[in-house]
Amino acid sequence: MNLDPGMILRRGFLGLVALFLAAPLIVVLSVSFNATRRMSFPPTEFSLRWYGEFFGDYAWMASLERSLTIAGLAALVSVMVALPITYAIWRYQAKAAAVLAGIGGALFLIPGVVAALMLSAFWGVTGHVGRLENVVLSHAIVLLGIPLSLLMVGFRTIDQAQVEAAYTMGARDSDAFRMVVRPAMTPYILCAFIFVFVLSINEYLIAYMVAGFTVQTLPIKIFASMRQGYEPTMCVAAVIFMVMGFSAFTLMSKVADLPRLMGRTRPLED
Amino acid sequence: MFGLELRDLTKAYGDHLAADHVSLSIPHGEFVCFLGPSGCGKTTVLRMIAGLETPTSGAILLNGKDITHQAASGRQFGMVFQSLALFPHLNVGENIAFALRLRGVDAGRRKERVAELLELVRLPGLQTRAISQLSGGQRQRVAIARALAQEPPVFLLDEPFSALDAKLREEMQNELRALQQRLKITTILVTHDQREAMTMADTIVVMGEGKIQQHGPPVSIYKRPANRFVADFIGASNLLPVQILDGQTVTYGATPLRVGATCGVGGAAATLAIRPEDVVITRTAGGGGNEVAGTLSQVRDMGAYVEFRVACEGLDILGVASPRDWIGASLGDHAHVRLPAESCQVLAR
Amino acid sequence: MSTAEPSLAAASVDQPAKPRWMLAGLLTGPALYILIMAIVPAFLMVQLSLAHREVGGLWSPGFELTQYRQLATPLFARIMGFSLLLALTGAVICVSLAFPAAYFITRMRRRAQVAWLVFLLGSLSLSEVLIVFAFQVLLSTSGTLAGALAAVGLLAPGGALYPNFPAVLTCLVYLLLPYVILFFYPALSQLDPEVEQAATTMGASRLSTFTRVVLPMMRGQILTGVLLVVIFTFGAYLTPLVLGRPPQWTIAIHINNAAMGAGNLPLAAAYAVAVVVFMVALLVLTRLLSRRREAAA
Repeated sequence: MNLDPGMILRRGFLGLVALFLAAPLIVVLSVSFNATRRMSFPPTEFSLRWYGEFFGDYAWMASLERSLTIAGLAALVSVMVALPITYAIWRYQAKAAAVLAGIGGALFLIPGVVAALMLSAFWGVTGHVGRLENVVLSHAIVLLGIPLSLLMVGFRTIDQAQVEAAYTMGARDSDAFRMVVRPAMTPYILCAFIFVFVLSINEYLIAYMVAGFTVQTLPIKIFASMRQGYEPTMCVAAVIFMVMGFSAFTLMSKVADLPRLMGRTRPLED
Repeated sequence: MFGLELRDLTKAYGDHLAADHVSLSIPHGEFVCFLGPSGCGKTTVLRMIAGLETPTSGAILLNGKDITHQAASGRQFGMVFQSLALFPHLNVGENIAFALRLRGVDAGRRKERVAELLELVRLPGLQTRAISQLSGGQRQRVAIARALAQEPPVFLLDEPFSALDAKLREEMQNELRALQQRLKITTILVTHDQREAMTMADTIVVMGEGKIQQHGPPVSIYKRPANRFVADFIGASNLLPVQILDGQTVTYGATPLRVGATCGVGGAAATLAIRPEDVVITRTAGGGGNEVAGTLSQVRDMGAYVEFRVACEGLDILGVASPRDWIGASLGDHAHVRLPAESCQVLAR
Repeated sequence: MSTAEPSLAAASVDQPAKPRWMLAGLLTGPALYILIMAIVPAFLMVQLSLAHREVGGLWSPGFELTQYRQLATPLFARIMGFSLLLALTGAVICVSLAFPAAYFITRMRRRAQVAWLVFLLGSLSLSEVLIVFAFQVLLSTSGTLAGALAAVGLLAPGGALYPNFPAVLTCLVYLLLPYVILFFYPALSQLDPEVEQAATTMGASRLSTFTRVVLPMMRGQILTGVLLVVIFTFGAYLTPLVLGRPPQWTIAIHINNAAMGAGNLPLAAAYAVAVVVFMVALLVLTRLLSRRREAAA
């Protein structure tokens, strides 16, 4: 291994970036194992006490379950909306689908608070307020840009000639989809689902403005607790987020080519 | 020594030797082509010469001075890359002047030099053109001009013409050769195209499996391949399994064949190499010896020449005849092929 | 992260026939969903901003510019000014950290790259609530950081590291850094290594290769990265609320307060419309800027 100054500089810089990104997480993680009720860092005594309390608390568990339900449904809806759009773009070069994808992408780019206001006004007008499905449908639309871009990456990996070859062998559109497209797309669909799921479960502002008073998701509950002062179980909730997020993306890196998914098309050697 | 010298140059990637003890002397002003199939290590050697890759062992000397550990930016060997690697954010003139700007050459002199170089590659007046507005051939020329701007001691090209169509490629080859002879610059070109190597090089270096298999003038490599690898890679060859009988004779099956010279001891297995254009076909035995009998298994009349295969002793011998000399036989006919002694080359198996 | 761009798939040689009913079947559902959940709310927001405000958090349809008049006040100008200052400061810091980081990451081996991507995606998806909470713990008076700073005399004993501007800025940079790194990732990983090597063979050092070749080639990307940070910062709500004081409140907090606290939905909508118009103006400006640069080059 050559250790020239450039290499040391590079490693050092990246090390500092990693440290910066990891620091708050390490703090929360270690505080969650602290035995005392007072928030103190570094922790003084190791204990799983707050984990027991968290999982035994009805309100926390209800929030967790609610958040998981919302995230699962929102991910399902947004993937199911994005799939026909991206398929129509890829297979038929449909202009209408490109327009829909453009709107989806633009929504992802407007400031979160504006989206939240738009959607809360919308649900207010419909008179259908404070319901779980409001959060589901709102998350699905705001996060639509993610499945749109990931599924597009996936479709681009399928050579159109493969589909045409299937046609020449007597396949109809539905057969080609089932035998050529679906197997190639499965990892991308899974990744899109995971990504939306993780972002939905972490989202605060939209959930709060759309149905926050009645549908208390995990982030809303954490924030509410924060306002009332420090509570060690909050750290446990935070750790649950971290564990879910990092294991979801680790899973994603196992089922798909992560560098490619994030936009690298140039081949990358091992 | 005046020129470039490679001494036992070796590059290992784990267990794999991309370059395996490559030693070569390139006199000043010579045009050398590294020729070989993909993965033979030719590009690795070129990149080590450029300073883009550090050799695992061995040395590189320029005019007798060891430059093995000098960085690429210090060597400043002009290089044309396979992708050309032109800077898309700079126009033609700025691309060519890049090295001059780095050296702090003043603007007036830079402008002169860019004009000079564009003249040299026959693109006068294109200074302000954007790279994206150039055709493939023009890009090629700009890349060449850019590499020559710094008056490099050695000029390196890595498969520069592989993306061009056949006609343009030939044109660029002729132009590059003419340019090189005019400038008398030591030039190393890497290619897998033997036609390209044959038309341009003073010396061809055939590489295979990380080693230099043979080097020398193009014709001698074609006429006198040093081993099976070279005979097989350069041009079409008949490679017949033979047994050495004595210093001047081998046997192919039961047929004794006289050859120029053999290598190895009597009884040893060897390979006889002969070019298709040296194979002579006759209807009946000529009586002069060195003939093998067989049946015609393939005839392809290509207009300019006739290609044929004769099955003898279980192997097809490939030959080429001019339409005038063609015997007019058809598939399945009995025929004799003569393998002239002076064209037979005996190689180790 | 690459945002959804509706770029068309590589055109195939033979276009398959486009059965209209097939496209209709595919797209009706998604189109309806997008229409109802995106287009209708957007129009509703514009309409809301022009509506008449009634007492008790209610409003009636109308066409009046009452709320927009409030945008002409120094208060609104100050809020927008501060939001922009925060956004631009954050953008400069973020981009100057993220660009080299992304550059180095794209040049790593696959395994290291995948590990970095997982780490970045993981931290990017963490809830703003959670990050803010973590920063609260980190910066609290009983935390190590405050203790260490107090020990070396940089902080009065028992002094707090928040709420203040640096705390807001640091937390925002933290939230945005993974986004911006991942935003630069595709473009930088697409960069042909031969381009940099070409610069080296012409005598460029590693630093001058970076400044004269890599940076100028990525000008447009960098500008867009800055824009991304600006957009995100304008939407940031929890960070300035928890780690800042009222002078450090961004437009997002004021929108939220108008809507949820004061029950003045029309005002919140007017603020939001103003923010979107501002964003679009920035977007157009960035496009023009990068186009002019391209034309000049």
